[in-house]
Amino acid sequence: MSADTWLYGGAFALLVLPPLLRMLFPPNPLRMGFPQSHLLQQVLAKKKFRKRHNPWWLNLVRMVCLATLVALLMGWRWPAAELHPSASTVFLVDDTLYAHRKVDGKGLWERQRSRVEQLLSGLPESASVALLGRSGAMESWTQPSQLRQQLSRWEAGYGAENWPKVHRSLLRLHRQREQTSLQVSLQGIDRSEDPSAFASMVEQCPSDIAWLQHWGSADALNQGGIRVDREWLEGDQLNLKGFAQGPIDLVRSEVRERVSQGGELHLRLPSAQGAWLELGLADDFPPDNRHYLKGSHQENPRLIHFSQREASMRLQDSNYYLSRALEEICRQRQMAYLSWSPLNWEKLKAGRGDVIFFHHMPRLKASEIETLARALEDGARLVLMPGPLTPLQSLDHLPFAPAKLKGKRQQIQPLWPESMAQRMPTISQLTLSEGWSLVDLHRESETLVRLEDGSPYWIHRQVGPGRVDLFSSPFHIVWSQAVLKVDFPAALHLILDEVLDQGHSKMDWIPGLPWPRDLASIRSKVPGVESGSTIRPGHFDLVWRDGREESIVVNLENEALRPRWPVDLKPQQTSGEKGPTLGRGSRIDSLLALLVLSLLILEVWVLQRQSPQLLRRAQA
Amino acid sequence: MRDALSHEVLHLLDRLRFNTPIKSLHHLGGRHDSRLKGSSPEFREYREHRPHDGLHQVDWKASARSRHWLVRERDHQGIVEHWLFPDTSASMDFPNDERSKFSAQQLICGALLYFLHGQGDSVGISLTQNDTLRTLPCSRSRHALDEAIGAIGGALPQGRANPTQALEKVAQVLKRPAHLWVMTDFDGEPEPWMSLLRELSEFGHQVHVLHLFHPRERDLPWTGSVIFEDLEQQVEDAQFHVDDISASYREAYVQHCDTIEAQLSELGVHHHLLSVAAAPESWMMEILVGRENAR
Repeated sequence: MSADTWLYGGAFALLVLPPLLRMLFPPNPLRMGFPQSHLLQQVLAKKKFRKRHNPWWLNLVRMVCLATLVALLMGWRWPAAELHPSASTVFLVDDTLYAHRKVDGKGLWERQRSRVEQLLSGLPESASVALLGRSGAMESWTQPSQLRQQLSRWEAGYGAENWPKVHRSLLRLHRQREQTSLQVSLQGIDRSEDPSAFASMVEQCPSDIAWLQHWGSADALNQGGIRVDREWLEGDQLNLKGFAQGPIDLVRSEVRERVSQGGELHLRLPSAQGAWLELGLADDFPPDNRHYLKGSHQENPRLIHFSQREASMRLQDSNYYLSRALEEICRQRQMAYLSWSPLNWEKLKAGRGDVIFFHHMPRLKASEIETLARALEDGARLVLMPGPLTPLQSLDHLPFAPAKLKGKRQQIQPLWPESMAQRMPTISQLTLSEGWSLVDLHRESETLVRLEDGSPYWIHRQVGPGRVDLFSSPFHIVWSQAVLKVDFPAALHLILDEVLDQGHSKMDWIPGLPWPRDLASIRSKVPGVESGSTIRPGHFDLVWRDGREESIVVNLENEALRPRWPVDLKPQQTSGEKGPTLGRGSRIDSLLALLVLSLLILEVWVLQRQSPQLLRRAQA
Repeated sequence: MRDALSHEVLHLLDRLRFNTPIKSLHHLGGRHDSRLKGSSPEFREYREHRPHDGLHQVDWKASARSRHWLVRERDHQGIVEHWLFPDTSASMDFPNDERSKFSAQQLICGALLYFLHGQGDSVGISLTQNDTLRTLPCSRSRHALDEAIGAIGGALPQGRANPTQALEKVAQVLKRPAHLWVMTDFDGEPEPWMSLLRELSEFGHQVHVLHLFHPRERDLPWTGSVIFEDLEQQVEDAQFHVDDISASYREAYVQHCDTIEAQLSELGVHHHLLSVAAAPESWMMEILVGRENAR
């Protein structure tokens, strides 16, 4: 518990304990004058009477109840129930997106895993154990050692809660158990997006299942989790027309709400630039169905996609989805989308307002380099994103590439090859008119977003009036997903906002997402970009340094691919809203209620015995 | 005091008449029989000679015939003396409110004084205040009545009870039988009373004991732990849980009252057990009408 909790608890105890302790003892006897005292003395002399003070055991019970109540109010928790070694055990873990959340500096998933491993170590090897995720993923009955290995291979964060599926899996495990009782160890956080579904699932389960609650407090969610509130979508009304018939999922963080689509949709959004709709199609590929919506319009700026055949060699590669995403983005932003094959690259004539998107950079001819350099000098924006087959040396031949990343650790390599370096102007000769702005790679202003290990994720360089942006995530093994993830589209929107000259006021630098309630303001440290009232979807962790939030770490599947978006966060004075807890709740709640009720009954009984004297004392 | 008496009590007192067996020595205006021989020669009966009868009362001829000391009884009309002995001890100040035993005693004294004076009898009062015995001699005057009423009206319940002191003092000066109205709550042992009352009764005095009590004193209607302080500070304080002792106490109290009544009855003393919670007219009905010779 924090110092504040102890402080408040101590103040509460100081206020409450004295009157409560006073009530533990019977009131002082009433003193009165009486004429027949000699007769009373005669009666007293004839018979001995027992003392009518509160018995010691009653005071002891009241003291214990009182101390327990105070301890519970101060946050003390009942120890978790122990696993029965002879019973079959199912570990129900939280493998949803919430599992990525960091609680007290450690990921919730890692906490769960270590906790399950700890519980497994306490079970005999002959015990039957199984693993079940809230998303419905399941490892069937096995031995503890094997389950420990399987658990180490589990990755969380790919699914949403699916209590019906958990129910079916649990029933299957219940049928498959070997003549032993079944106990379910609940791991994770006492929180669910749909507590009623969890409660009904528990109600529908066989009654011989023992539920052991080993989960933590839902209060920990406020330390890093985003709760998306529907109210954030109430604001300006946006009328969307022209969408295809079919259901539409309105994506707001991890919450998806399906709304009806009949060709016209009315939504309330906080900003005209912040709508992000997702068509509920069956192929489950977000770029096909995702639509970024802008409230304002621009006159035909272009997004030129330098597309290669190699980039589309596989059916489901990054270029395929990227093309679909770019098409939709351009449609939403009223831009012309041009997909140019390598044959036409030399013919490029681009300038201010144009974005040249270069995916999977090949070795360029000198004429092509000159064409791109000319476009940059005319104010175009060049976005470089290496693809899956991009050779690591390809960047060496791009004189305007600000950085390249190499190796497993993605160390920053010298930017320019020696052959190119000889051609480069010295710093003293550098002028804007020459088209180059050679700066130090380690300058913070050039590396906008870094990964967890410090390596650059998004690097930009001003080249004359133009600008070069390099994204490094596609180098990773999960390159195809990285393109699809929201980080890149969000960054692309940023670039487009800058190009379209729209983003220098309040902008949704990560569109379509509500603002976390526990933040009062967020200010981007990306130069030239001001953030609005929305933030990217998914989860984030606040990175603290010297007591101040410094950046937001976006959760991706791999910890090494968590771009840090440098921002200034100003928390609100009041704490954020707590997430909904599971319907069954923790056992401590029912225990606390029972204890309070028992204490009240006991006190009523005691007061009933003492009330005549208390009343008389008041009258006196 | 008359103002303190209710209309019902005054109406009741006006309709009652107190008839006494005591023969009065006076026959000037009294309503009772006179003891003076010859003044009213109507013979009633002979009776045995009593220790306090004078020799001049003996009918020698009748005694010689019957070989017993006989006294001739005659019907005489005369004045009877009434002495009131209120209890001014601290135990009468219970409960400590307007309906205490002492305030009830004041009403009873006032009513009796008013009633007896109205019959033409002489009334006197003797009470203890500040450890000093104050005695107002018997008189039929209006001034004496007002003085007696003022004395009881201005008295305060205080100090320890010394019930026999006033009675003994007055009895020493009484030369003839009189009505002695003793008011007390019998707080303490009753034995000192009994010996004195026996002597007074044998002397021929008509002793009326008005035993005052409060229902709380009898019923002990409290619960919980209580410290009972003796109002006269004669015994130590007693602390106990009332629920434990109430039944035993009630039984002891009833036995205490029964014993007193039995002993007084044996002595020929008129005993009236009066609850101060009752209406004042009921007290007077009990005192005056409840007697067999009241009409």
